[in-house]
Amino acid sequence: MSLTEIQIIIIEQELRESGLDHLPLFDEMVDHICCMVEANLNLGCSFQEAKQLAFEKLGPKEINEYQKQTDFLLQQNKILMKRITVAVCFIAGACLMISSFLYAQNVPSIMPLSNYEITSTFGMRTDPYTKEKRQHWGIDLKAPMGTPVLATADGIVITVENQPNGYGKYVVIEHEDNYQTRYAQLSEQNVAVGSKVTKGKVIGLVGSSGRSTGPHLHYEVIRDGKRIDPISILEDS
Amino acid sequence: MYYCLMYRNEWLKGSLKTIILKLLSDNSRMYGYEITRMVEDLSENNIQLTEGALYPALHKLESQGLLRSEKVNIGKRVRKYYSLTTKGQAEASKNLEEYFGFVRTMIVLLSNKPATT
Repeated sequence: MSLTEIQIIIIEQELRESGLDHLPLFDEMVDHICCMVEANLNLGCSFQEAKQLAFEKLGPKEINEYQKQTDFLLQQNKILMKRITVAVCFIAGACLMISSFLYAQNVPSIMPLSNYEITSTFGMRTDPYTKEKRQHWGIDLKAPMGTPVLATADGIVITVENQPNGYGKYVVIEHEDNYQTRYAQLSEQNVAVGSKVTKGKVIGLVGSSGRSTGPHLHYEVIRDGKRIDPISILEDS
Repeated sequence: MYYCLMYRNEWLKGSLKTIILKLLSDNSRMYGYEITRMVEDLSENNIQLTEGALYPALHKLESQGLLRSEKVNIGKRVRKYYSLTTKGQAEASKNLEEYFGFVRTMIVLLSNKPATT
């Protein structure tokens, strides 16, 4: 004889009221009591009697004991969850570190001089030659003649040229993720086209070799073919 | 009360694992209530496992990797069937053999009178 849905619901309710609130074990207990009730029904009891007998056999003491005995399982689950959480955090942390490391290596996120003074920022400015308002496509870093200029990310040198009326002696490095950096007004270029450079490597020396009023580095960052403000992608900005 | 007091709790407590493993090695899969009924039948009603003892033991054996469980929908309720894992099968036969050895030793130990000193 099989119990109806309503009878099962009644049993579930009574079991909840008995204090068995450990959900992972609840279903199993419901099935157990239902089996007991069914056995009593088969002996000719009414549902009420059958249920009462079953719950008498499974008194509150027994339920308490059951709960106490199974507490350790839930604790184990908690420990497991904790371990999983720690593992996930660890993996996420490692991924973050690796990606930020790769980002840090491939993206021009440092300044090309260790000591400098920013004398002109990116954006509209008054041209020091013509005194006209013009867009300035990079930043100017004032430093003594001969100060080493550093590659701001890993990459490959794609241009080493001289434009006496413009950039002067300059170097362009191509990086991953469609970045390029330009270092202009150099007094010396210490790399050749095609050479691989790593972040922080000296590629030339500060000078005033082009359209310039004194020793400084004109530094540009080009992303997807457009010049952007180098300050905006600095590591700490 | 862990068990019907036909036998003392502490004796049965140490035997519960052996009972569960043996029944599951004879039957491919069983659910909790089925185990209690079979223990009653086979012991001629001398041993009645109670829920407070049986289910925690089942869960513990499962967490030790000796049992696996599957849930089957029976009408509107869920029934959890237990069966032995490969590790559980090996443990079952080893455990039973040791248990018989223990019982034999106990009979010898408790039947013999100590020699007078």
